[in-house]
Amino acid sequence: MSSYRQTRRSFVRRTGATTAAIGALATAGCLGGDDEEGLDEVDSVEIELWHGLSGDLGEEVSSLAEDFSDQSDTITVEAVEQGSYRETMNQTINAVRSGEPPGISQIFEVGTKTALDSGAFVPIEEAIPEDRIDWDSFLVPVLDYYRIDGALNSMPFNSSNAIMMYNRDAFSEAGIDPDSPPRSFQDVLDYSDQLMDAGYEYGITWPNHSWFVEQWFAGQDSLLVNNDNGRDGDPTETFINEEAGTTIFEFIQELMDKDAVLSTGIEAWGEAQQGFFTQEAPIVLYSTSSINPMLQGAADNDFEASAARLPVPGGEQAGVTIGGGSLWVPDEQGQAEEEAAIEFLLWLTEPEQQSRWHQNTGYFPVREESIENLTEEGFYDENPAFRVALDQLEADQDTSATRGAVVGPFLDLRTTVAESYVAIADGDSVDEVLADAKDEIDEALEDYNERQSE
Amino acid sequence: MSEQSAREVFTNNKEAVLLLLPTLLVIVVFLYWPAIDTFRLSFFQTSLTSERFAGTYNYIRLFTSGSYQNSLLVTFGFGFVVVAGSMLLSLFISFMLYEVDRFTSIYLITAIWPYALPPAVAGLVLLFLLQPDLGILTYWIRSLGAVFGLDLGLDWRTSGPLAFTVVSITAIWKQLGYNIIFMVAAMNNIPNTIDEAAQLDGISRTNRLFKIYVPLMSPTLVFLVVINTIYAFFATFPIIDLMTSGGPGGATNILIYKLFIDAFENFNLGYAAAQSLVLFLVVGVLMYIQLRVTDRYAHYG
Repeated sequence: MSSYRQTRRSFVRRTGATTAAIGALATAGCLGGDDEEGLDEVDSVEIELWHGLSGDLGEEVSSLAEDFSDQSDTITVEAVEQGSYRETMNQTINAVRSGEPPGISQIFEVGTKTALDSGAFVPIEEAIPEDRIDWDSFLVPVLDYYRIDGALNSMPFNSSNAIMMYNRDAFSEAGIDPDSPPRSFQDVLDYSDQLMDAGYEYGITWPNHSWFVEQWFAGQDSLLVNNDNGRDGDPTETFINEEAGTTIFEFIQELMDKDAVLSTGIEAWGEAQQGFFTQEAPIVLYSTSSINPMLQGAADNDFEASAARLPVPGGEQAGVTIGGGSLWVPDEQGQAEEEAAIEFLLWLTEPEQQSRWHQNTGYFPVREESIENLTEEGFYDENPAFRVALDQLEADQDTSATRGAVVGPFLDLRTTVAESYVAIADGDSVDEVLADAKDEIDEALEDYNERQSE
Repeated sequence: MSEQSAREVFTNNKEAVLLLLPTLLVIVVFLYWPAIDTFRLSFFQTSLTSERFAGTYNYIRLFTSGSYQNSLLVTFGFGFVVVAGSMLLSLFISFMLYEVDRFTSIYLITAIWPYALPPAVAGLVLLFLLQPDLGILTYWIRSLGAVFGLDLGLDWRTSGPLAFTVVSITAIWKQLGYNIIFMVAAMNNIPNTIDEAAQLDGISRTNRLFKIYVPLMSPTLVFLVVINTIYAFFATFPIIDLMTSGGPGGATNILIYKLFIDAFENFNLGYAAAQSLVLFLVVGVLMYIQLRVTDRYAHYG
């Protein structure tokens, strides 16, 4: 948590430096810029890929960029880590505003609508020649999330879902069959009782992140915002306080009343992870992108963990929504740079690279072939947790609810939802909290729409 | 004599302008120009890449917004608590440091230490010390409460008033060192004879502090009140950011933090520009009032 915060501050410093540098460049008389020469007319072209993945994930992106550059005669792609997702988005905005955008920028899922509305990016589906790509071989639920108004605007890159991990040893100890993980909210409540009776501090934990609430809306096949979850025009109203929302927050409240949930800070992934590793909470809700570190951490702490589908009210899951980020190609750059960016994206989404990405990071591959190949190689037999994640994704019913909400002020919405969890923890009533949340979100939506209208 | 000769070196106006130019350039480019652009931006509705003139839209939205009103209230409350708290506490500590005869420098260094920490580090240190479940301080407070039969939850991550208390304590603690340096220096400037006379007359310590020292060091105190106000309104940002992120439920969402969130997380530059302008005016007016009011009581020897 703290490292993310610190980088945000260093970002403020860096923005200053970048702005100054850009200013200096601009006054020095715009170097390079809007040349119309295509890729085949130039000898070499260099582009940057801005992303917000740190640590092992960031290194994997860098190694992909290097491998691509090595096999290409003309194109060099350099992966540049810009800090967190939010910082990457900010840096991209600043760069686009000043007319010096990167070749490719990774934008997190909640920035999708903002990026789209900016009109500063090339719609990917139009930019890629039809004969060079077979969209039918892409994973449908992943494409669906990023396809708005029928068009794919960015290339899906790192896609993940919410998943449940549980401590098998704890289940056995509490007399629960480790092969029947909880499926419904009621199961979670019952299992928590049993686990706590067996001496465990809590039943369950998860980062206080709006993402899980969004997943539970999808799981109940309920829309989070109107206008078909924002996929049929700008949303003007949220349904956070309707039945689906009440069900979710009453569940949270019941867990809190029983002291069955280890409450974590807002978006405190590390805290939830620690709670699971220290065996305080034998069930944790997490992201599929962290399956490997979670299993490893469990092994390091001498217990066996398994993955299972995210529990939902009633136990019948309509689907899960995608999280993560996608790759956007800014419009305002040279023809050669833009074509180079497209070349890289085509290479990146080849089944081979996608298999590698999937295996090394846990993010979903975007290509069906990658999954088929890995199945043949026996990868999923050795890594059943990855199979669980894929099964959950592929079982998705295709509705606007499971495709996920498209909201402009998504970060605002996320903060409000996370704060609602805090208010519930402080003892406020679900109805009141959600009514307040609705007011705040609706105001943010109204303001966003007001700012977009020309 | 030395003052005069220093002036004579710079009789050449051109040379003076030339020497000032780098400074002026930096000030204009990094201070005045952004300030003017912020002023302009506050009248625009901004989206990711475009901006559109919107008159007073941002300001109207600002003053009708419940979360902004809350933020204003929190900021004034926080400002008052931090300024009053750090001034009073520093005054007592300084007086004790001034009165003590042995190990003075060790006490002084110990008291000034927090000031040597960057605010972010100060925030992190107290975050760990006061962490609701694992913090050593919360543990002892809870143990102490148990003696009196109280079951203190102390979860300031969910309780607004508690969170406000925690960030206030951190902000006050962080500022102590700075105030103490100035106060001890001011006290050392006061002639011993006055103190000796007061002691001979049998005046109590508290009375000596408030009736003799405070009036005599008032210019320093005025200066510190102004600096502490600026600190409470602006420089406490890292503490808020690290410890509470403005939460829970906006209980610690001071104006400077709110405008950062609106600008860089919600990508609403126009709205944030309007907020920063209002904040600037608020602090400006506050400063003016403080200087006018305290000037009447300040005694400049």
